[in-house]
Amino acid sequence: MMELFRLDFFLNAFLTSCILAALFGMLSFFVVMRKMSFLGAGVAHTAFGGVALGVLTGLNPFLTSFAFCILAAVLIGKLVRHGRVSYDMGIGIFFSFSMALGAIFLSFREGYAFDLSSYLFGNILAVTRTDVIIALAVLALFAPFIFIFVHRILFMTMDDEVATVSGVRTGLLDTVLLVFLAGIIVISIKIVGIILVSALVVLPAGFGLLVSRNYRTVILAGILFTAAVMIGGLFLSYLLDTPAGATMVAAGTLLYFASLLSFRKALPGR
Amino acid sequence: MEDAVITLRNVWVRYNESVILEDVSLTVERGEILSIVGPNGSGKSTLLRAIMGFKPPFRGTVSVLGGEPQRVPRGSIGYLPQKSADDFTMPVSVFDVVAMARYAGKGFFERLSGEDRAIIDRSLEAVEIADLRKRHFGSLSGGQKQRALIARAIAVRPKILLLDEPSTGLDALAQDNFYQMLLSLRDSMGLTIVMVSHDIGAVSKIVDRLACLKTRIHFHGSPTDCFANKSLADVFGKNMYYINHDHGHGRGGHGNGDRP
Repeated sequence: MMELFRLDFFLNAFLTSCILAALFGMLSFFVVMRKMSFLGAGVAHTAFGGVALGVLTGLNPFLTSFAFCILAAVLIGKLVRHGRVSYDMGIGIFFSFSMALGAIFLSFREGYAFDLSSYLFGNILAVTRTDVIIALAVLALFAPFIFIFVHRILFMTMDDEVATVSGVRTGLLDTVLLVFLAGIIVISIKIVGIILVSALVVLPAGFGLLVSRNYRTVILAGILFTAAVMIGGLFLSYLLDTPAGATMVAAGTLLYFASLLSFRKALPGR
Repeated sequence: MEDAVITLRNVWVRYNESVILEDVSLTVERGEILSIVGPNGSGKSTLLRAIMGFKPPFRGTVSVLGGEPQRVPRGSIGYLPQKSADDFTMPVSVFDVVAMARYAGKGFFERLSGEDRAIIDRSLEAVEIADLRKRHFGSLSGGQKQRALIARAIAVRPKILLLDEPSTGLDALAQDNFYQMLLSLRDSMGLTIVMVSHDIGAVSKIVDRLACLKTRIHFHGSPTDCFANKSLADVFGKNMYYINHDHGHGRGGHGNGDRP
């Protein structure tokens, strides 16, 4: 098994999985608490339009999908914040609009050999050392952000207007959180893909909330759960010769349901 | 008027095309407890939101602590929104909830100081739930949750406390205790309290003045004068029936009950 680490792509995928475990473990808690789980799925699907734009223009598809995701996340956030649309409505609109744009962009490049399934379901062979460094850079920004602002994010999650009147800059904080959401989703696309990434947005917090009623422990449990699922899924996919992203998500879902059965009596009254 | 903390002058507020507040003029003096009463949909919560600057008027002016609501120093207002306390399923302790108020105004790298912790402890003691500080917030009863949220509101060390239907979900005894607690908070912290309620009978026992609102202010004065104003019965219907004769804490007021 150790010889796998001599393979560049595997080492890169392993390191990225470790970093993503920390990122999703933290992100998931706030996304779930803020009832933005569907936003995670919506933003991930928005990436498809960005990927197609990259293919069409010759720009790096991950840069264009990052731009698409940030734009969608921030726009939806602003529209919801100003009471123009509800979350599900905004997500529904952007989600399908971006997928439609993607299909149109790709139709302009007819005959172009484009590995769509790599983007939809991930492809660990595509993970490079640069991706590891980018993921590490995002972690270096996101972890301190959460450490500094955790109480303020919790406050605005619990009650946005009370937090605002008490001194929290809720608009700015919400926007920064949405930008991180978009960034983290985009860097995970190579591993798990556009379709499967939404599982990583909800499962860590889902697990954490099963085992604890203390937000610190919930986040920590979410990180450990994601690490177990991503790293375990990576090795399992090698052993079973299955796609890595799909194996991680399937393993995570099964582990979550197994935990649901094991922990449901541990925290009564839920 | 000379010591007015909140002043609304001819304030008009609308949502979309509907006018919610119409020509509302009101003053709240320092240390006063004012209750805004009225039937459902009368604009009570909108009035609080206008005071906080979340719903600016399209006509008229709102002044809070001598300035525009949006420019009031952060933390000058403590706020308890109208929200079912059962909505809160977040994995946080009572202490965490109250601590949020202390983190709200902090700089990037500031953590809780000894003074912050003392303020949190005093806030919990003021609402008599200091012994629940380690409890999971979601496991508290409705009344205990309201107290914890009041503790969070006063932990910002506000000058003004705005409460939207604070006694929702409390039984009669808990309501009585709750209102007594508000009186002692006003006295010990020098707070000015504006409280929205649809229960005129209960609040009239403790407030200095009542403002009866149904899009417009139909009465603003002492609870005793409010009860004497027969024409209000037409506007407020059954709510008037519950007005209690016991108005022991009233300070008098300046009713304009002649404007139905």
